[in-house]
Amino acid sequence: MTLRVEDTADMVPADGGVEAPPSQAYIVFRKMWHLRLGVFGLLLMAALLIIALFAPWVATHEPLDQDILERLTPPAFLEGGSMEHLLGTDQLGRDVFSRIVHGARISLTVGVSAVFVSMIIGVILGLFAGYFGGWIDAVVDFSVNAMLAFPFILLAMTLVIILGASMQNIILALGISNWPIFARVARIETRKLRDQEFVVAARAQGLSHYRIIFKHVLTNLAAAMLVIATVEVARSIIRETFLSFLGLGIQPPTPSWGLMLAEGRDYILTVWWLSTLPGVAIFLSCLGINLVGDALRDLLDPRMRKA
Amino acid sequence: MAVQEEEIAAADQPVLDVRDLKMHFPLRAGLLKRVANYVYAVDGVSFQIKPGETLGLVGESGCGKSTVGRVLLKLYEPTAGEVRFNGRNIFAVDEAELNRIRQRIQIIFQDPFASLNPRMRVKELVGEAYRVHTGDKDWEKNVEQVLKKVGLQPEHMQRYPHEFSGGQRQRIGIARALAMSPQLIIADEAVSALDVSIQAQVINLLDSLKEEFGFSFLFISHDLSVVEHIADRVAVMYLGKIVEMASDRNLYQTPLHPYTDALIAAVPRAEAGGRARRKTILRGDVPSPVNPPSGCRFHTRCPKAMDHCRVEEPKMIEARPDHWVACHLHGPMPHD
Repeated sequence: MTLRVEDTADMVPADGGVEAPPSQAYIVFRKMWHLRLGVFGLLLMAALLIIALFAPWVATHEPLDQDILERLTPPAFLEGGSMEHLLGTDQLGRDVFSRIVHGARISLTVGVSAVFVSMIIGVILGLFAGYFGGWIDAVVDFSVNAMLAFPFILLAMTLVIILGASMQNIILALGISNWPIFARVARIETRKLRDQEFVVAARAQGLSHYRIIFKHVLTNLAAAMLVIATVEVARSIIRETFLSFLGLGIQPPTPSWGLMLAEGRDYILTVWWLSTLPGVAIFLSCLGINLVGDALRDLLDPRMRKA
Repeated sequence: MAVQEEEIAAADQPVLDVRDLKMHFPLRAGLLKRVANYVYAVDGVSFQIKPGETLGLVGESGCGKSTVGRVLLKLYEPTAGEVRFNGRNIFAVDEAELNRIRQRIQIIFQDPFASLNPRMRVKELVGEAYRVHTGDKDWEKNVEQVLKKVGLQPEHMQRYPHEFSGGQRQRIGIARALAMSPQLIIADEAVSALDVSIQAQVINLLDSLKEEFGFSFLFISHDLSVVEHIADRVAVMYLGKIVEMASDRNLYQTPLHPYTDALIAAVPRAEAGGRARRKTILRGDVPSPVNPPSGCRFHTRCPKAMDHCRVEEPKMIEARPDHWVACHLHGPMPHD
């Protein structure tokens, strides 16, 4: 029995047909890669969370206790260091490790709370602007553009100067200057959702605008907002550091990573680890949060989910 | 006796009375977003639906039939006209009253994927409006009952829409409409997105529900064979206007308007011994509703167009008993 030409043509895949499977495999590979990074990020984030929650138990010393005799000792892993002060001591003889541990608390509190403030303002404004359109939309859209055109740090600094530098005011300042990100995405997503048939259906059923906005539109925004919020927590942590570094954030002697960076600056040439170590803490925390945000986006994006 | 007379009077009164409905969408252009032109999606449509009656609204895509369905509930701000539901003008009432009327009129949408909120369980999807409007604590009972009516199981209540097939999702959409025990249901291409085999099931379901609940029904579709099956009366729409309206039987057996004729000819039929119909094939595309043709809107494609058709718009007349048509072929010839 011999195969006819047409039969073999079917059995040997055409060149064009080879294209599809690798792209599928590539997507799966990418998802796994992202997930792996996401798991790594989750571990970092969990560590940050545990350290922040149990700071008094994790820390080996009181973060504010000074020991003039033990000033500027190097970390345990460098020559001259001891296990007494794992990461050495600063210019006032305070234990750096304990200060970083307590600093995690401050950073996380400020980061999460600030994002919470901007998310509430931004999502509500975005929802109303996107849903109702008209003059509300015009006002919100203009405010968003105006805010984004304004240097962020200048705005936050101005607010802190007006309100006064306390943790609560830093949260407010960071929150108020960062709402446009949420407003912009919420507005655009709401505009898309508003014309979806299920929203039209809800209107046709005589449900109130209020109910449609918060029940039907908001629930479909939640995933996108969560992803942005995660990444924004990392950015807020960095911004708090920045403000503290400039002396407009957390005030001494409270242990804040930004403040520690600033204090170590004077000794950077000789005692380099003093500002480097809080820098590493900032880096690892934000890396962890960003990786989780990335993985969340991939998992929650329906287009990725189907692939 | 008096009560009975009143009921009879009410039975004579149309549930829905649409008069000269117009919906023109503005087209904005330029930097200042000035209104450059209008899309004349619906341009003077009038019809009535009696209690328990099914009106089929047919036409090609883009003729404005879906817009009619949505303007009826004031989902768009209408340009002109009146829609009376049980005698009340929907366009003249305030928001609260409008929302009360909307409870009595329900829509079944075309796309069973887009019309169900992906983040709500079936229980909520079907029961939300009923629960909110009635405040009934036992609302889940109601959901269970309507689900049973449309052929779904009570255990489906906890599921999300993406767990269902297209046909099942459309059943959820139907259940959602039924849950409000409406007086009028508008089905906007309710079966067009479904496979043919599923279409038949859903149509039969709608048919039997209509029998059981006695609601009035506006069935919007581009598919004449589907409409023929379900409708008592049929209105044919072309470019924002109704060109012919008659009982189901009259319209299909003796179409008066050349457009209706062409539409019916285009339906593939497999009737043994069916009379061979001369095929009227339509040339060209539907003209843009932005610049509708002068005179009779159909004259650009009409095989029987006369000079007069290009100039004067034909009026809707009752050419035969209960058979209305807007065509110069059937109107009084112009005297000049």
